Amino acid sequence: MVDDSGTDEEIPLPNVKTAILSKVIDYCKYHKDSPPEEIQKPLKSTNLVECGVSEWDNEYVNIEQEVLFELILAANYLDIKSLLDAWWDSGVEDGKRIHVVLVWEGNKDLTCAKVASMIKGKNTEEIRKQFNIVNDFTPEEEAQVREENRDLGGLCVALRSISSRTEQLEVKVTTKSKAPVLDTVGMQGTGPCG
Amino acid sequence: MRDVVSKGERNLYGVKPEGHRFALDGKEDWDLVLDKGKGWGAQSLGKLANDELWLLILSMLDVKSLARMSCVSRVVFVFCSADHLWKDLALKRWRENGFLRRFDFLGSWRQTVLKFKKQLYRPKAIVLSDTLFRPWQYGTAEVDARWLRREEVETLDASKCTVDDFVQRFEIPNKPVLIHTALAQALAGIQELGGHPHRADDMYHFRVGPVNMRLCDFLDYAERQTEESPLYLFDCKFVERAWSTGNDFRVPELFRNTKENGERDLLAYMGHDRRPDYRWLIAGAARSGSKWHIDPNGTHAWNGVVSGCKRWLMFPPGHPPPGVTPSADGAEVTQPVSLMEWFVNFYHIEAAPVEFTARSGDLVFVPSRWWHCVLNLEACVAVTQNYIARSNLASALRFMRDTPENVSGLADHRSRAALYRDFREALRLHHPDLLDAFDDNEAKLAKDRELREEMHNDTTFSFEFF
Repeated sequence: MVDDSGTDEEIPLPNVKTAILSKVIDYCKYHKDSPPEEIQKPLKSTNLVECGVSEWDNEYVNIEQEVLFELILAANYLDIKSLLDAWWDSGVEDGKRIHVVLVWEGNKDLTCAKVASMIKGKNTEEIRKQFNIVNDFTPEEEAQVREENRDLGGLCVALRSISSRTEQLEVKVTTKSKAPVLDTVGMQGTGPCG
Repeated sequence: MRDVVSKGERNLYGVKPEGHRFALDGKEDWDLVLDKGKGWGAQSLGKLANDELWLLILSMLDVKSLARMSCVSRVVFVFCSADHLWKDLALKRWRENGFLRRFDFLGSWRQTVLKFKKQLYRPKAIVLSDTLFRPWQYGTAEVDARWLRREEVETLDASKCTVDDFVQRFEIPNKPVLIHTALAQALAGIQELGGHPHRADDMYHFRVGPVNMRLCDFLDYAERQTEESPLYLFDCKFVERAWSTGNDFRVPELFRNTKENGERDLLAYMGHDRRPDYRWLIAGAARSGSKWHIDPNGTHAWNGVVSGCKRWLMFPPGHPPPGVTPSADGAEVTQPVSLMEWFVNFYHIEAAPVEFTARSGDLVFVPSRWWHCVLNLEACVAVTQNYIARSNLASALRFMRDTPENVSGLADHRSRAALYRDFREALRLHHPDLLDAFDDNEAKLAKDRELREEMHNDTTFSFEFF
């Protein structure tokens, strides 16, 4: 991308590994003439191809989680503005300028959509495991958060299982502390699920 | 038990601006601050260390996934509670359904989507983030008393003013005016709707963003929301929707086409279906409103406040207000995200030449090409109509002829491009004298221009010659 612009101006690229940078450049090269497809949000499938992503793009982000994060970071570290300015100063025609922005945004959208697709379809515990996130809620808090965020996907069965789980929690909690923290849990047990 | 958290803080979940770190006092305070990187997973998502990237990822999740994600950790919960995420999901759902029989806003979009009335969990913690704080800041900012002090506008009493008087003194010189007590009769039907929301019949559903809803449901939402850019009821088909059987909606006397008045609205010749959108029912929450703009297609407008009160600011043609930059071709305007953000940051920079508060029953005349913005000081219902009279006919025709790409209010590209031709046709049929006068004048102007250019060329030539 930098080469294509024909400018000799140096652009600072701190903290970006060569391998990652060359991957970003791959993406820009591939989309040099055809801007990336728009990704449908919210994602309706964990398979990005079903969300409007091309096969090539899907393959592009089919990488180790660690590399994926570095890729997102690289796009963020690169001083996008100076990169664009360099392009613009080098006399890119008007139509092309919009294209450059589209490609750049596309790269960010695609990599972030990949992360989102790794969240989708998993339950809370599986998400924590996927990203190695430590659960820092107290049991009371977790029961409250889960109650608020009860699954509305139309899965009444899952709903019931969650509320029975919170009931178990309630027992555990009240034995620990005497405060009736969960007095409102279950209040909306008959709420709609759809 | 009553919710002790104030309406303003309810949707904030311990978010503070980054600068708050300097106000933290001692270890106890610091212990409350959550480490964002750790909360997102120190070895994975946490490495992104960027609020906007995290929100971008969350914005791609559906309701179920976002709800599950909310339970992952305290920091992730606070990010997942950013209400615009839930608002987008709700609007997406509405777009698919297109119609809302009942809209029950439960205080935040998150609560509305997840259908729970009482917030159970509040993190006893602080998350420092400007990105999360900013929308809340402008969504709950109070209207500053200093913005309401000036009253710079000419006023008229509708009962003591003739149409001719109004046209001579204000329409022809293209000057704004605030007209008192002009609406009493004209909008009685709407007053009824605005004043007694609970009596509003189920059959009246109005356009709000991508969906139709009852006016009373909308006003209820308007009272309860704390958004930076709340939904706005903006319906150009309100007469057809609510007055299809009766005839309650009457244009105020000063602007009505009658035998005595003559043709006040020349666009009416195009026919109701072919003219660009021209009248709207508007309703909005306190602190919402219309950002800076110029009315479309070179039209004048009148705006009647049915209920509530509105703060008006105006700048004359060719003089955009501070903080507002129109593009060279006039097609786009760059300005702050919300009206409140403009007021907070730009109000004090330059005094607006015209500035006033319009109250229920008042009518505002907005002359063509004037910059204006309107801030609702309380929940407001208003009716507005755009028109072309003799006084702005020439400038409106020039606008349509010279910048057809900026024409708006017509559904398809072809009729936008053809507005100049179509409007001329209608005039030719009903009022050929007006059209001839315009054409004669344009021909004369063109001739003058030619002459001037010739003279200019002559001087250039002689200069080079010597």
